[in-house]
Amino acid sequence: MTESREAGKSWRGLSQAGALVRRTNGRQRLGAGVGAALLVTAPFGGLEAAGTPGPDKLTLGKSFELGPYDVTIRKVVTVGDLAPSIKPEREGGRLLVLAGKVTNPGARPEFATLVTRAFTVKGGGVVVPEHGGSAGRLVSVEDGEDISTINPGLTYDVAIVFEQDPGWTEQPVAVEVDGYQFLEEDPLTLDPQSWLDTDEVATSGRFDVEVRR
Amino acid sequence: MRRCAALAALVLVAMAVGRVITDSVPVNELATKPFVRSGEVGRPVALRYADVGVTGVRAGPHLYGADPVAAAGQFLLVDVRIVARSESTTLLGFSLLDRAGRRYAPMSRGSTCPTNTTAPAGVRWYAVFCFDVPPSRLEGMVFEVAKGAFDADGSRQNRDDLARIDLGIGAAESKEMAASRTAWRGQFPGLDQMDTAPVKEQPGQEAAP
Repeated sequence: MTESREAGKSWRGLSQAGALVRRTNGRQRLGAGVGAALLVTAPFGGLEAAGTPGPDKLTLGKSFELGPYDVTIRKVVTVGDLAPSIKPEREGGRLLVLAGKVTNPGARPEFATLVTRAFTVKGGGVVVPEHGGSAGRLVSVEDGEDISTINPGLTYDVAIVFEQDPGWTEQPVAVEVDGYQFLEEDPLTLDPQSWLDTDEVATSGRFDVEVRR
Repeated sequence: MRRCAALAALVLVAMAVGRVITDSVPVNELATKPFVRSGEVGRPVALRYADVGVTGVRAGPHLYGADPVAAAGQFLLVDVRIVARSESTTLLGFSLLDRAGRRYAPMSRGSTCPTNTTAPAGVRWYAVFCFDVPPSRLEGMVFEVAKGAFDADGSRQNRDDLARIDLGIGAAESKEMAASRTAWRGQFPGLDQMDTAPVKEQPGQEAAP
């Protein structure tokens, strides 16, 4: 008697739930389904905030935007020197070179420091400046001279050059590139229409280093 | 009594007229634009601080100075003569403008050419400014000279006296200049006229490191 009463109760409960479902429309059912799915996945992180997207992948030979520039890195090599233009400052040191192209597609000249400031190389014994700042130099492959400004419409074959410690070991390096934000007005520097380094890595990649003895 | 009322009415009318004038005339706006004076090659432009003239224009892919340099596009060299009026004058605003309004900065790569200069008063001061520009954009280039640097938005040239000198590069000249393989000497400003003779390059030594 007791069992049949309880069975009757659960049957009535099910039929009431069924009646409730019949009274809802499609959108309400969908919402309830999503809610139920979130509750089920909650112990596994379903209710946690979505993480911020990571940096874009830096692919050799593929162009990417860097502030006002279009930049392509073709290869990562280490050389003894780039004489007579650049030699390692430390005896026994080497130079790590990111070889590629930089184009200014805009309508005004832009500073080359926007390129060097953005690039960081981790690993490979790359020397980090003691007082911060950019570790790399941007030179033209054509003549080995430093580039300070790039006029609109020009593309330079470039080498972004970093110094390596004498004790470097052959290993893959991580290349990280900061993103830039264009500011119409910059309240800090009072310089209008400037590119601000966001200090966040926008593009990154890990590469084997080609060794040239 | 009637006189007082008339006076009050007059004051009110005067105030209303004043308001209409201040609303319709931009009395609070400051004139910030530079004063632009046009010129052409061979005809100096008289600015309030100096006479500025372009004496010649040359083009080529290589420059020789302290170190040889190669253009990413084509070098356009602008020979300039400046006579400062009453005092030694520093000029920071040298640039080129193409027909689409794009701006080009002078280059100093290889310590070869200046990007600005200080002209002593009363004497002829010579300089050559070297621009690396896309060869397809040479036609119609205009050379701009001002005391202030242009920077990002020209705000340092507010109320400046500014020369815009047409370099006289037509379609035929631009083709010729774009195809030029002549090498030139980059030089620093001075009292002597610039050496405008082409540089003879040795085969295989063209501005290579």
